[in-house]
Amino acid sequence: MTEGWLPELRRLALILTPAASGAALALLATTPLPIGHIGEAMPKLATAAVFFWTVHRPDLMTCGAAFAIGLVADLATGAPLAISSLVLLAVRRAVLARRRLLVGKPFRALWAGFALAALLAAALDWALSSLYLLAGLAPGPVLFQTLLTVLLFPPLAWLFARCQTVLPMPRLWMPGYR
Amino acid sequence: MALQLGETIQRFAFPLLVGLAISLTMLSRADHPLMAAARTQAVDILAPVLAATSRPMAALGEAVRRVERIAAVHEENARLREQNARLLHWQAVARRLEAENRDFRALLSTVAEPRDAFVTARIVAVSGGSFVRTALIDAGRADGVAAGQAVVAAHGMVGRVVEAGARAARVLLLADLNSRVPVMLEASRAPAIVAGDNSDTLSLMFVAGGGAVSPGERLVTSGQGGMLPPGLPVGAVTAFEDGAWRVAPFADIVHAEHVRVLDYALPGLLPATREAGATGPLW
Repeated sequence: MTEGWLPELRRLALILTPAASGAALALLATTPLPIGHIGEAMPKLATAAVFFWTVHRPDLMTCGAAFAIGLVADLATGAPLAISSLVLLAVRRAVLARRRLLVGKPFRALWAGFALAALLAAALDWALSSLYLLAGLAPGPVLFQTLLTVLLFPPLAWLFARCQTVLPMPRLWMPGYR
Repeated sequence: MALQLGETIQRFAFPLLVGLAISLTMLSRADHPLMAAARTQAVDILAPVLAATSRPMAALGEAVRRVERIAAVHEENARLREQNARLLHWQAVARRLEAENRDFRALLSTVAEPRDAFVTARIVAVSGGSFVRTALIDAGRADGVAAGQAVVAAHGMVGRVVEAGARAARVLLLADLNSRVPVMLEASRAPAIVAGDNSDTLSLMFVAGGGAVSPGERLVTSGQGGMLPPGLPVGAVTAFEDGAWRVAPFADIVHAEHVRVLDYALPGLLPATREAGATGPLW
């Protein structure tokens, strides 16, 4: 008897991996780094998770997952609730629309795509936060933060790609699979 | 059938969740009590997780600093010797002033300043570089931490508590856009406000009487408003930029691992909470 609750549990854990990796990175991004000046601008690591999984497994990085990751990020940083959710939902939607340009392409293309997505996400975050606070926020720190996020994408993508090989095949048809 | 259902769910999920996110944002903009409760709850749930991840990072930072210190040990030693000689002089001055102050107080029968108790807590998370500047500490209501209390690091004020959970609390740092601290110029005692603007320095606003401010001047909390103890070092004036004086904070939040939360209660100013069911006369 190979069927049982243990394989089902394993399957569930694997299915939740993309969403869980995003939430874990959102938390990790708030860890104080008391080294030099690195700690002053923490990268938005969760954006990398949402981007990578939307490209490779849009069935597992659902709207709900992107929303939840944003909520975790905002609760961890103390930011206005759900602004990050809006940003990550927009990232998912934008990536899904251009998925075919990124799937199966060399890593350079994926990285360039991420740089663009991260920049757009930062711009949206900046605009929404400025609107929320009714103040023009200085764009300098945000640009630095985005640069750091883009530079950290390759090691994260490598990790995600390792995870991807063990994920079960998609069962549901998704708008993303064309 | 199942395929169509999945497609329908995904199609409706996006606008639904965008709507939900916008409503949540508006609720938190309006300071809805539900949002405050959710935040306080989240502080309690997230703090233990973040405390675990911040440990190895703190150890790594300590290791790096140790190596840096070994490299500079000779200069450091010479500097400390010189500083020690200077501080011994100041110690003598402080002892004399303390005795003098005690005599004057006794002569004038001055009202005693409330003693401030404090709790030491570890910083388990900071939000750096984004649009909010806050930190999470691993002490909460159970340890006597309450919203409004001042938080200080080794060299000066860091911020104040905005949300206190049962075992963890969130600190609004001085650099946050919403941070306003009543201060005074240490030399002239002119009151002013130090405001954060999301950059690494602070800005000095509303200096009373348009007062003469000069670079290098120290700022300490004025104690106005009764929430913060007077005399906490905040920062030093650096330069005049874009129509405002900039202030460099004394406390280094990036490298601070532990902070103190001051429990400063000015008697009579804030309504004392009476125990439910307490009987007997008020006085």
